[in-house]
Amino acid sequence: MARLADLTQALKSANAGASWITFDIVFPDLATYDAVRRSRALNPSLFARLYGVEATGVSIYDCDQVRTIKVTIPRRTASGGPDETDFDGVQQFAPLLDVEVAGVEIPP
Amino acid sequence: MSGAGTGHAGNHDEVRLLANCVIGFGFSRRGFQLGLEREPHLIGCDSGSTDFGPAFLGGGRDPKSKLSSERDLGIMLVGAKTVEAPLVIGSCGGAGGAPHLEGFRTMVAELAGHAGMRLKVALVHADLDPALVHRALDEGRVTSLGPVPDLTHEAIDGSTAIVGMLGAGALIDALDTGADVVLAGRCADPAIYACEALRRGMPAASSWHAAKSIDKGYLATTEPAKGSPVLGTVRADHFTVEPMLPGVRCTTESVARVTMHENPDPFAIVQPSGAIAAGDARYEQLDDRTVRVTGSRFEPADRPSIKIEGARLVGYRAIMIAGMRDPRLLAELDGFLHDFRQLLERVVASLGIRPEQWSMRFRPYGHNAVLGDLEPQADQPPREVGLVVDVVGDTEDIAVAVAGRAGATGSRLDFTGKLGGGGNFAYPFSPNVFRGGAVYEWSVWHILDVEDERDPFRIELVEV
Repeated sequence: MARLADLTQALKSANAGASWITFDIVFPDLATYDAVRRSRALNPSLFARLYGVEATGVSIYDCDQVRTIKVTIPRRTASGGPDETDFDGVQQFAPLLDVEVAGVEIPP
Repeated sequence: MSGAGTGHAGNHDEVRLLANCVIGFGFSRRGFQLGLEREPHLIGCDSGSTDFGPAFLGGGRDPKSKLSSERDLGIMLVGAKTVEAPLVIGSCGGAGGAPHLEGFRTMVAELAGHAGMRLKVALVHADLDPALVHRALDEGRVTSLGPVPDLTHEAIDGSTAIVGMLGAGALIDALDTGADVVLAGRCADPAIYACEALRRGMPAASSWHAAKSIDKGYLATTEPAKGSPVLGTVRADHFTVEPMLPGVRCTTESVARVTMHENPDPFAIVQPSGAIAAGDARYEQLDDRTVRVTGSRFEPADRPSIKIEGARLVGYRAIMIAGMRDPRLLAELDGFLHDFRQLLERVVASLGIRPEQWSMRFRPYGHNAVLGDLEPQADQPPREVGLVVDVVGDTEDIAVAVAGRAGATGSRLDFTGKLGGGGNFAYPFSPNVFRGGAVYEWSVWHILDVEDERDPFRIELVEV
């Protein structure tokens, strides 16, 4: 089964202020983007499970123009205090790399 | 000789905005010179972000070095004066608080002196009087920004600094004074650019979306490593974005992506006076390096609101850094760290330091230090680990005392009975304990409803 790492042109995370982490999941072509969207593999429960947040707090946006599924989740430590491990949130995408997406071909 | 308000450009069919990204992180001097040849109506640059964490607001420090900031600021001050365009710097000094703005005022005065320039500078103060925030809280005008606790009077009193994020309104007022340079405290990035387009009568939709599209400079280009600055040209029904450096391109994708960047909602970018709605915008390639955008919208807010940020002191940090390579130790690292913590707690107690006076985090780089309990591959044993023992104490003396005992305590801890006089920790540094200074956390991360978005901000005019 294809992993998200194999299906994406870019897979990144960043903080959106102290309250949220946002993921830009960019696909190399429209066909792959549409197929992943239709598969519903990227859904709120997945992010709730991977990131330990409530599914109701997960927002998913389809950005057709740039073939990007954008996902925003609340930060678990919004305080930026001593427990922070990644202020910019730029390495938080890693758990997504191995997410398996059924029924989508790896693009050439 | 002021660039603002004199209408020197004549043609108001378009407003040209020259955008660098962040002061202190550099930009292309050649690209900037080419940008000046386009006779921009405004030159802008952001200087801050909360990405660096709360310590810079709380401690009144700038995350960038003075040397780096002076290079960027010096080039822009001279360039702006040459073409008589106002220079607007947002979120001065990183966090945009009172000491940060003061630092930039001094830096501009020094640079102007070196260059033999006299400048009229408008300072837009964004630090908020705690009394104003207390009153707003009592009046029910404060709400949480995302998943953070409700604001309390204790949190306001406990904050070492509170700033409001100013919008285009205060900057328009500052430009209307005829200032050569506008130094703004904490500031919404797009406002740095939208102010001049709005002031010259351009519609909110193209002004704001253009501003948002250029406010990260290089990010709007295909070659972020050398792309700043970019030029945004605002017209009544569209805007264009192009890079200034030859060989760099803007594409429909590179420009469209900026609007998504670091925003929780890519279709509604909230500003004090409303939201940039880019969901229906159309991006087209005008030539091989210029992008035209139509169909942007701006949805005015029913009532303006200001984001407010505050930081409070948590304690003082000291860290100890050591490497670990013993495969027997690494195979049971979690158990080792558990024993290490228990032993160190006893050692610290023997120094007369009470448990509530310090806290400690192990950051075992190579073993889940970044993702923690979210790590999907937590069960794979590491080959090598860099251990950061991160101590936060009520005083620096306490933090240094604890971190100072961590090395010997952990290095000699005999975890398998096989140690035989060696040590567990490989030290790359002498000394191996580092003072990390004051530690802060966000105490205020909220939205303040206001009558007028200009209300909390104060403009001060100075000649340098």
